[in-house]
Amino acid sequence: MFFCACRFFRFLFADQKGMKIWFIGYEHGGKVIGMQELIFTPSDFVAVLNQTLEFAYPQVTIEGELANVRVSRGKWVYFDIKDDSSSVKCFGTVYMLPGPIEEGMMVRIVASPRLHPLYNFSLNLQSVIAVGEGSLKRASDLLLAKLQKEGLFDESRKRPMPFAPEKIGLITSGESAAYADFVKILNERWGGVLVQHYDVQVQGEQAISDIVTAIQYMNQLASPPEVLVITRGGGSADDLAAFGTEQVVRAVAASRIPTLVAIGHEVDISLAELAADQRASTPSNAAQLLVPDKKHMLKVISDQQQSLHQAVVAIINDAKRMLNETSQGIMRVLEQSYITAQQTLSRQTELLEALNPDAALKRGYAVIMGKTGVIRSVKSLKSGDAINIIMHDGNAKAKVY
Amino acid sequence: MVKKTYKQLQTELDEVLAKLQSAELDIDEAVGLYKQGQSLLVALEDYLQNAKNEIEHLKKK
Repeated sequence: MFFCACRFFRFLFADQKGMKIWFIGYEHGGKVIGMQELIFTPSDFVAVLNQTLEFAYPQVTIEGELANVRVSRGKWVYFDIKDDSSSVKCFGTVYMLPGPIEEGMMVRIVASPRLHPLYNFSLNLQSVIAVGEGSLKRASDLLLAKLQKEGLFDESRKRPMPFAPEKIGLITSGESAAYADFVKILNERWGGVLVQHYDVQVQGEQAISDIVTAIQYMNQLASPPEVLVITRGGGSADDLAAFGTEQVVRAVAASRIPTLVAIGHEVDISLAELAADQRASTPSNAAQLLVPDKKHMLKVISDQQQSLHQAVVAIINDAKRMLNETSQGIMRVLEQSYITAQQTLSRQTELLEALNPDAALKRGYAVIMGKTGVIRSVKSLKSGDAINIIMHDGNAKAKVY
Repeated sequence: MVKKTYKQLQTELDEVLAKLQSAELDIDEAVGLYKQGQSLLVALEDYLQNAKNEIEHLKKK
């Protein structure tokens, strides 16, 4: 007799015919109850065994090598998981796979052990992920090739990121440094951005379905965010495995909201990043890509303001100079017309002076007036005529001889 | 009386000068025209002096 779990034990007896029979009993409150000898029908045995398995190992996690991989009708998958000395059959649906798989790959499966009434023992798969550098790489390569063929990573699919979005959907673990970094940088650079956070596991068994659900949830919102940020910090290849699974990659590619995937690691790019509209190297980098730095923007605005001011001043100065030139031109015209008028006047003055009758008299000329006016000819004079001689300083009366 | 323009004064002076140059004048007419010409000259000089002052004023602005 031995105990294999604290609440569960079994006995092994040999009966008279030498047949070994298992006795199964349950411990309850320290007292053994319901212990009896049982002779099973095959169906009972299957039922009891399954109950026992369900109780003892509702779910097991096994790492091993894949062998005998077979897919039936595009839906069911069968394979063996093995090591050097053992091999166990597994059964599940293709939807549980991280992507295409092939023999020799190391995988970690989560499954429930079951004895099928007809088809013997198998592990009913719940999830399958590739593990170990080599297998992860191989799985990733296979999936990459498959999805590339479908055009999931095409550049033409990429949508631009919104500039300074007002609402961002953030899919990451709420506990993580990635979350804190992203929000911190976002607020430092811009601020006032509404971040709708969906808390997910970013590694482990739960991560795949969490992330897929989160992307679908964000997409069905009545007022969805302008961009989805799916992020986590760096980690080992195993830690990041969820971001290389077909389910997550397809969910990212199918999102109607533009996606930004930032997985903090240096060397390889995960397939989710390839499927995203934009990738960033770290959560902080994602925030930098999405919003401008307000200090920088203020500087840019202030620079623009200054050059605008300078441009306006230059225009005003130009106008002033032109006006000044015009006004000088007008002054020149004015002065020129003044000079012309003065010259005309001075010529007229000289002419008038030359015509001054008094000036001629002063020079010794005299005017002789007769009865009928000025005498211009000797012929109009005869002896005995009385005449009046006008000189510059007076008149003299005379008679012609 | 409406103040005459520079142009009108100038035209009158031209007429006076033209008459003075014609031969058909007696001394009294000539003296009268000469006086008229002189007063026109004074008026024109006044006009020009004003214009000059205004130009100087504008220049200073």
